[in-house]
Amino acid sequence: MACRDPARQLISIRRTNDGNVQRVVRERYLRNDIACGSAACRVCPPSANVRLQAKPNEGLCGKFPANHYIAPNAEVVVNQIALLEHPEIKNILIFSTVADEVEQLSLPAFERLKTLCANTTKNISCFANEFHRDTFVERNPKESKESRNLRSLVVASKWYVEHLKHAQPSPAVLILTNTDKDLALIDAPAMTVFDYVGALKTSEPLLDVLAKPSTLEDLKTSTFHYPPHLKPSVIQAGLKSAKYFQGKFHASRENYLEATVSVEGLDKSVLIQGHVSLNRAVNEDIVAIEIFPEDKWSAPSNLVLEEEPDVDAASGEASEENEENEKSRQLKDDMEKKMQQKVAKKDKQPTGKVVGIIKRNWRTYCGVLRPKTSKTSTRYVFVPADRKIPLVRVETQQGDLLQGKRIVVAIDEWPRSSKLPIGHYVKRLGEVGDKNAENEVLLLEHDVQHDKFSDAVLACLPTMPWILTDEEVKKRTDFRHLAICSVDPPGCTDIDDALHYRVLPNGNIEVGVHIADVTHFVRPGNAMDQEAASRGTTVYLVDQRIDMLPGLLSGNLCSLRGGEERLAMSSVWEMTQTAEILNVTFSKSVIRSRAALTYGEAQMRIDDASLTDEVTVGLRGLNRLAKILRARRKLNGALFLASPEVRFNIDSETHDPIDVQTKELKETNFMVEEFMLLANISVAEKIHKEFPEYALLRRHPAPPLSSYDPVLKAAQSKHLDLTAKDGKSLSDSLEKAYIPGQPYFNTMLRILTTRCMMQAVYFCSGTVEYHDYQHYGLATPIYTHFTSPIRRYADVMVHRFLAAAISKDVTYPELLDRKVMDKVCQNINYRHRMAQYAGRASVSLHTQLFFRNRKVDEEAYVLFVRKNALQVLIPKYGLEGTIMLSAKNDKTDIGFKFDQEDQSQTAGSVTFRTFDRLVVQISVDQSSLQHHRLVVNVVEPIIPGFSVTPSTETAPVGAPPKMRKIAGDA
Amino acid sequence: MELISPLTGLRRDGRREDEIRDIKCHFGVAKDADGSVLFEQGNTKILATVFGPSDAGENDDDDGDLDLLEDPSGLECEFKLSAFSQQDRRTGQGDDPRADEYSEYMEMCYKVVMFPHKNENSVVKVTCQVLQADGSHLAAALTAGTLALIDAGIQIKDLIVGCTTTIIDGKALVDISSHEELQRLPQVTVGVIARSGEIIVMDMKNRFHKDLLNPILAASLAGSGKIFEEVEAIVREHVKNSAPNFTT
Repeated sequence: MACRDPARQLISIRRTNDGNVQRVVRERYLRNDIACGSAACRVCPPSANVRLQAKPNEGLCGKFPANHYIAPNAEVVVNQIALLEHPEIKNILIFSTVADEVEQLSLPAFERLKTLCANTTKNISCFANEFHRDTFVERNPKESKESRNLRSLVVASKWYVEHLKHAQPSPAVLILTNTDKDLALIDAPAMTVFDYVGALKTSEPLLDVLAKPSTLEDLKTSTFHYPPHLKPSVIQAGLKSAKYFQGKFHASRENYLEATVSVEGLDKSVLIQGHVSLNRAVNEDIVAIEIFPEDKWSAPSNLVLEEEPDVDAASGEASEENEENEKSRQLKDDMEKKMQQKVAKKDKQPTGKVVGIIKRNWRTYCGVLRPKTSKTSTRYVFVPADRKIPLVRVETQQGDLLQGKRIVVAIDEWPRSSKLPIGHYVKRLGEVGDKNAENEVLLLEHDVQHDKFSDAVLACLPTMPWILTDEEVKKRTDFRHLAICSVDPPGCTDIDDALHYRVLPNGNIEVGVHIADVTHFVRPGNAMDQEAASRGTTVYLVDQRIDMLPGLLSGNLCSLRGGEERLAMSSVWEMTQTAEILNVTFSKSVIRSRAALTYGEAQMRIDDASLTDEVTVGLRGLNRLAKILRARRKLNGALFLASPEVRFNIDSETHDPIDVQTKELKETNFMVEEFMLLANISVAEKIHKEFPEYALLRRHPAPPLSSYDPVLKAAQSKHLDLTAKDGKSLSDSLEKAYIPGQPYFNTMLRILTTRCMMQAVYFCSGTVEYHDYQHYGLATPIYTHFTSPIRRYADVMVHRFLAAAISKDVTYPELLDRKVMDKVCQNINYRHRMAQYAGRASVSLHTQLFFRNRKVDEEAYVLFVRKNALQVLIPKYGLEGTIMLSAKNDKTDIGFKFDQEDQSQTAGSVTFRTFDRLVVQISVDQSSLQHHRLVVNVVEPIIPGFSVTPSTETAPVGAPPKMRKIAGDA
Repeated sequence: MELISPLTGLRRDGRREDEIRDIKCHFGVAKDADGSVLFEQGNTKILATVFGPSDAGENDDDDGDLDLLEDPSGLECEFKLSAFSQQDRRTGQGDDPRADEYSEYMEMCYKVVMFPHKNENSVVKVTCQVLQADGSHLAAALTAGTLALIDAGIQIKDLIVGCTTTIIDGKALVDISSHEELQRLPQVTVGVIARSGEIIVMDMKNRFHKDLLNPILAASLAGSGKIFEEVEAIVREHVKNSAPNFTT
């Protein structure tokens, strides 16, 4: 073992979680066989992993013309990872001491560093100086960790230069630091990253990409807008003594001065109000809070508040803009006063204040710059697209270039002396209002992976032409003789389910659901599987689909197209004529779909009595059974809730929406849905029986009864009694809740009910008690997703479980690992949620594009009455809008009075209550370039000084409004 | 903290995946015993002592205990984890719950390499006391016990060595330290006759998928081979020192 020294003992002292002091002894083996990874080296044994160039960064930097590698310290990696990721920054030398320090300082930065190092095209190399005989530095007694790390950085860089001194030309190593305070301690070539980047000859100025060093706060001279955060040690002690609580910070979408913190172990989330209490927490941060005594408890203010654009806090200098600051502070105080209110005792919710930040969860944010106020300043205010994120102060040299562009910004810090967080510009996406740029924004904002599939992924695809071999057929059940057909929306290319129906000789009925056998092509652990697992789901935008699997699979080999032989996973039931299930068998099969129908075509076949072919007869039979199944489900208390779904007719040339219509549903939609539910439930039972510890299932927890209160209250105002004791009574009473002459009342009630419910989630069966498996919305004790493996990764996993359960495939280690399954579930839950949000955002983006240059009057209904606004639903477009009742300047305020008990707004003779009908005018406010937004104004009833005159434009043609009734989870 | 650094590919103590820790050995440390050895495998330190062969004596308790008859090798093994061996001093609870099981394993191993007919009516007692615990206890105890037997001059056919292996992300780590034992990863300990690759005992910890067994076993055997090489050299050296005229 010549390549390593005898072990050294490293002794460290640490404090355990319960406060004990522990001595930890670890061995450390120092080696001499660690390759330096430089192409200039002639000493190290040749290795495949040589990533640094022989003539690095020649003449790149004005201040350091010699050839050099750059060795950033940990602070630089943590703060300036975006710089290191920049393609023009090359030949980066990461020492392992630096990497370890980064891991301790910031996990997100470490993850990005890992990804960067994994990218073989980047000139970056990690040198394990911590384990090298000549570069290992032992911590001296009483030496701080930081200064030891700094020392080892210097030792390593010197060793590196020495190691390469025989190379022609021999390169230098330049240490980069984030601040100049360390420079004096380094007796090797070193520079601050700002000096270095400033002198770089790159194609675009990279200085903007850098995060600014944190401002030093002078306790005497700066004015503070926020109380200080507590030290971590104080927070930890406070958490232990239950003085403080830890939780995730959720900023309110509607009111920037309000947020909630969900604390584990508390029933109600804690309300945080006012900028002092919010104390610089940003959405998704993990914060420590202090809960106020009960007499200070309150309820959400019901106000809709947007961060005031005129409060220009772009400049931090207190002196010159003191006056303005004063004004804006008053304004803020006014708003906070407005938020104070008398609250009925039962509505009260715990309130509290943020005392410290445990973990920042800042990411990069998309948005626009607001035009600056003074000509000379380089400071701008950045308006994030996400309303939950505060405005950000940004300093940039390219301000003029970036006006009216969608840009990405990262937050660096939020000192006490600054009203707004301070950030820096990262990159540019495109023009505001340009559809591609806006699409890019919503994909980035929702963390949707949308790059092309990599070569490694594409290499996993089967070679074309793909032929069904006899060998494969032999392993499977042959269903090619059956009259199988698929029913999907028009234009669907990823057909993942097909059905068949036939009467058996004994008079019973055989029904089959055939799902594309995706797992035949996507083998566990390969690049394609990993990519699909990380994407989690296909994302549907209005004009775009971001596939989970490459097109060859999703649109061809796994798509059960009409007339083509395809591989499938089949679930076949034997039923009586009254849809009682006698037995179910699962198999891997080969099918040939007779016809790929649309919902409309299928409906026409069913209705056309002259057709008597096998497929049509089957469809009629299925339709009859589906009705029985559906009625039975209703009896069990399944909920049928409504949510408006919108589709756009898109111009084929410009891809701009030209017309909008809500999706229309036919009987056949329900037919397919019913059998998909049946298949999902049967499969869930099967895989849970075989894999009680690991099966991937889906559950929908019942909401606490109190969450229905707003709906019940609203219904009561219309003299209707709803009961929400359990799913059944709720669905029964919803069924009866009709008001003559108000066709949308019931639908709106259902929409409101949906809002009260919890999200359905995927979970690993071993992690949850059996009685918690239930799916509340579908009223079934167990459920999973099996029917759409082309577009959902959950279904892929379920297919694997099912295949293993019927001994048609083998299990593999990760499948039977609860930890891994739990991770998979968390990821797909997250991706699923994000995909939904992205879809909605896409709809609202297109709605906005659609109403650009239009003014349309439409019928609308009040959904919620807020303290200063009305939220209305416009059924025709499935659109929700907010009508502000009191504008920010007092001129237009015509004095709406809000009645908390009655949930109504009154002005003169007009009163608005939930469910009231009104006519509204929809238009797009384009007055400010950056902030196009949909504006809804009241046309009718007429309120002098508030309502607007009717538009003369005729409404664009659209299909009659229809609500989609969904079970929520097919 | 990951067990294998994603950036450098080294384990946390600087070893590569397939490397074992340093092995050190002092013979004859307990003068009262017939054979003893202080065996160090990294920071796992084991005092192995052998008493015997000694007279098994009359089976004077007349409870019909036929243990000795059933067990002609007359081998008694004991595995002990000292209270002070780990970071949190173990008190109260007594022995490692698995100590009995481990003692059994030791017995099974040594029985295979000893010559039972040579030790008729006698008993050999092997005790492995873990003085400092830093992972792979059973494996180290199996190796240490063999060395103590050699020191006691008891004839054995071949050396038994032990090796504990785990697997993470498809990479097998041999001779794991306590730090690497912490996560509940699949763990396999084998006691083998390394020359022939014959597995005498195999102990598995934490539930894992059968597909992982083959790679773990292969790595374990490879690791045992490395341990055997070192131990064999140590034994030869020891024999050379203590009996200079005895040539092998």
